[in-house]
Amino acid sequence: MKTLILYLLLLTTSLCADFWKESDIERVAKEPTWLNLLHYDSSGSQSAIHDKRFFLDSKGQRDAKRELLATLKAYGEPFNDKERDEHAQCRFPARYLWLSTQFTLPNYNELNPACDKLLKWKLLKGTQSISVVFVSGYLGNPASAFGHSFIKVNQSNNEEDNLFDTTLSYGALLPPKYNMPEYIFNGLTGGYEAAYSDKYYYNQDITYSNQEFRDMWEYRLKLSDAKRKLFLFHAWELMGKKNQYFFLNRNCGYKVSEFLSLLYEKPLIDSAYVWYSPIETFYKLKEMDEKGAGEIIDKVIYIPSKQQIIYAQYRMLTTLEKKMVSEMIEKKLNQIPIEYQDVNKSLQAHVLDFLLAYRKYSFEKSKIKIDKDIKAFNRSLLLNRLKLPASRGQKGKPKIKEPITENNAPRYFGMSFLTQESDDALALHFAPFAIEKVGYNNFSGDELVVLDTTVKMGREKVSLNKFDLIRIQRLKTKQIPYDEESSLSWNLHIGTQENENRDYFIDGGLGYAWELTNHMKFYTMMNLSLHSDEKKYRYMPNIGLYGDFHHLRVDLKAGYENELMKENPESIFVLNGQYRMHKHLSLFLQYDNIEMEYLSLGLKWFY
Amino acid sequence: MKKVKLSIVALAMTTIFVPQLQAGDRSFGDIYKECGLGAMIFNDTPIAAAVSNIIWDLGTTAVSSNISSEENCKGGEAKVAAFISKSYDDLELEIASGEGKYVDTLATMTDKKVSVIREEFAELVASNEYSTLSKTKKVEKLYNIVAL
Repeated sequence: MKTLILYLLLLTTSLCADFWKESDIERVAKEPTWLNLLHYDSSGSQSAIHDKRFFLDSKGQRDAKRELLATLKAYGEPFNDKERDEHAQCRFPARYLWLSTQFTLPNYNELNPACDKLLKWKLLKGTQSISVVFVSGYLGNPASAFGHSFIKVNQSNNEEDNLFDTTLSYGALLPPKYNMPEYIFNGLTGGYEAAYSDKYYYNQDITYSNQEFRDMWEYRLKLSDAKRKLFLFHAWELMGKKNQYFFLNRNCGYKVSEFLSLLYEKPLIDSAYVWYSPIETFYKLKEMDEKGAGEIIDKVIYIPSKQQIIYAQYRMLTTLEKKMVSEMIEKKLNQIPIEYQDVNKSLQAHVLDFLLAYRKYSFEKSKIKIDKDIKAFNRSLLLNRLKLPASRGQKGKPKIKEPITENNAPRYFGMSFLTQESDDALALHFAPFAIEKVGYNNFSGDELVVLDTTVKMGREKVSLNKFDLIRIQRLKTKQIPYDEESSLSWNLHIGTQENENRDYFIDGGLGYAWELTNHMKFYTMMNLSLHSDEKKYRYMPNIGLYGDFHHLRVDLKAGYENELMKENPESIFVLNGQYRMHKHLSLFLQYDNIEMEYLSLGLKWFY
Repeated sequence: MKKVKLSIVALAMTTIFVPQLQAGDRSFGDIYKECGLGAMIFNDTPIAAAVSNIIWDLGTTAVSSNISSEENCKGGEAKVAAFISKSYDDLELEIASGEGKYVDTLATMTDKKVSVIREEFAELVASNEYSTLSKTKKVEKLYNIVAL
């Protein structure tokens, strides 16, 4: 009997080996789609996924051919009645689907009825479309400063009814307890594992929009039914499989791009050796869409943050309503003031709606503890609102911000004519991530730039003229007059500059900003800085004007700089300007007289 | 009193017959205990993040093993309870106002008109105890308004 079984086994194995030609195995094992399905890196040497459950061959993480053979073999194995969902056809449906286009698979059945869990999976039943969502940067967490991205699987095509759509989000699996230095260290060095997880969209909406006040842009993709199916099957394969997390170049943005690469002939990732920011996925999709005559992006939907919604709600209030709101805040009233009790009920309703929303926003922003007095006050306000009729869509809608991919791309390379204290030279400029205050973007005078480098090519030598490790500016303006949120504006600048001697510095400032018009902001700051050259400790009170004239953005700053405990102030003047000539090209001008006169005029290419 | 009794009976039944029990037979208390809703409400605790991944994902095992079977915590009522727990603060304002994406979704899920939810919610807020209720209790009361 044993001999018979052995004989049958050998026969089956030899049949399997004969079933697929060696040349086909060799070819398919090197196919980009197969490598994408296994999440192999661009060199094809190994998979980014180190979870053993993701491979059918013990060496599958490093050998795509062995994994292919093991997969093909596993698909032909009989189902075990007790563990039917563990069969390869149920665990790896995307591989199964794609391999069916490359080989003749015996008894191929795209969705085997034995795969109970897969058949019940909600996403396979009602998916209408697939989107990628960009969440704007959040300075409350270092890992979120450059933005976040996730995939949204839409069960509804109605944007007003999408809270139960599904999101697939990639993130580090953090331990229950950790501190910030540990978090940064492990994030940078691959000390954390990471995985995709699926959640209902309302979880993301509440976290990003309602609690962190971050705008989002949803890019809905155009996908054929076949591609959509492949995508969903692959999502099933990926869920919960562990990867190694690297904050700089194996982050959410990279993984979203890697996932989407499965759908397109060309990879979405050009390079990610050192750095990959989430926004890059969207620029690449846009680029492919433009080259492919609009075959990639169906539409872009702006999802305003709760903050933007509250600002819009305030703008919609009439003068009388604003007056009532103001009085209620000033006098700490939880009901409509007596003198206004006779005004129209719907007007009273607007006032209370705004106050309730504003108080929630305000508490969320300030993170203050809600004590029993606040609770009692809120309850009275709520009750008074409930006594009035329901609203009828009169809250106002925020101004739609244009898609992020209409802004300057996040990287630039530039050339300029530079003169520094009468020393003329050509200069090269480069930054791997630059959302500049005078750049063409939605940042309204804010900026976040890292590793901004200027190399000066003088007649006698080539030198590192400027290097900014990081440059951040946040200009906060009050959109609501009584906004209690900390409205302090601030900036931080760490870098080095070539003056008479090389100066290494850390410069930080605090101040206030006001919106003068829709296009202009005025600010005043006090900067303190620490330098490596002679004047080590300095302060610099300054005022500035930021102007946004669509394609032209300008920042003017004036003040004086003085060394601490000394009386030798020097007046300073700084001018920065950019004019967008083309979606990739801007003309820029930089002038300042700090330490020595510096002027740079040139072109920046954003990509 | 009747509700309390029913709840106790259901809870006792749950402990014995969990695998057979359908979502529709459970009170909020049952769902709360079985599905880790408490951890979800207090979602600033580290445990909650992991628990919410386990419990409220959509049938896949996102991070850890799926300790709650589909029969236990994926039913319609558990879905409503989780939704209310996560979005209570938004729901409170939208019910008061009578409009909004969250309250519209809740109305659709429970097949109850926004005006009816609003009316019953007004009674709840009018009770003197409202401002002293814990978040969990508020969630439970709203759940009972839409589920019963």
